[in-house]
Amino acid sequence: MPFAAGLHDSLQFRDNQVPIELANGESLKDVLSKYLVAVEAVSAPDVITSVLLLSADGKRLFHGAAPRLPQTYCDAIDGTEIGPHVGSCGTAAYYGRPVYVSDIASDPSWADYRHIALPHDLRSCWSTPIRDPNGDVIGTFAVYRPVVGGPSEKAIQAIEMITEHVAQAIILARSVQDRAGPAPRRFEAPRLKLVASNEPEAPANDQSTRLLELAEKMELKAADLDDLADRTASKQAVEAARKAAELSRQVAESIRAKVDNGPNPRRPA
Amino acid sequence: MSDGPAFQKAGSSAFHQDAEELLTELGLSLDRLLDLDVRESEHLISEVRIIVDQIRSELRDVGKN
Repeated sequence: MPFAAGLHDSLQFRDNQVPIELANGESLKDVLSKYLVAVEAVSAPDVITSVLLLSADGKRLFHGAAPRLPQTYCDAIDGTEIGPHVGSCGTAAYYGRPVYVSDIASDPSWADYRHIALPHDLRSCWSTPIRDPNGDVIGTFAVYRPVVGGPSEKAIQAIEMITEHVAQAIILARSVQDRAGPAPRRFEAPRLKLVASNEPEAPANDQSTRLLELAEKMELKAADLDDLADRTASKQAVEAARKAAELSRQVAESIRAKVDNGPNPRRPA
Repeated sequence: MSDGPAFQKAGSSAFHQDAEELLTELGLSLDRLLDLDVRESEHLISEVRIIVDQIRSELRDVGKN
């Protein structure tokens, strides 16, 4: 069975973290990535998961999160129009039902896409629609494996549970986004605002801004690592946590120092 | 980038190398922490790894530009 015990606890832990993370300005992609990392941590090592999000017009699937899928694969399928024979996810979103493809190499749904998947050793793909409370499809959750085969009954139950939790996270993120005001109908919650509210918001797509956001997040995690060290009895673990915290801060400082040497995107000329 | 790259070409290679070394060292320290099987550390380590991956991705994009 690809999913181990502990999945439910991991998902509940994530559920509890999501409101905090969204309040801290983390993006939907970050939140979803953490769900998938948590799922994969209690899954068979060969399980790779992904979330695709359906566009507002219900026609296309865009990348939501997939921490272990190859970037080239994610890029290749990003924005794919859904349809009756569009891989597992495009087909699942189109029909609004799970599509468990046990052999990507031979399944007709993958005829136009298997040349993208097989080079990455993606051999089977089980996709399930993610629905909002009205029952409308808002995305898909997929499990990829490097072996041919379909899901067991227990795996299907696990997938359904994961899909429900992920749906809640998406809905919560979008409600936060809606409260924050109108934004382009893309699929991320508002980005972390590092600037004070009375300052102009930095350009959303600026690489420097994104790096500064990541530096900020890294510093927050450094503090968490210090907290972990404070709570840990083992001397070795304390040293390891402190070292990781120190390196996290160095990474953050290094980014800031470099970005600050260039034009500061937070201070328009 | 339309508003001028904050990462100037000059010195970027050295910065990328330094950053990559730091990120690699951080990754090793996270491996070490994970090996020690500290309770409650797994989620935190995963979250830090996500940020590390995102930084690497951004740095690669900067390098392309």
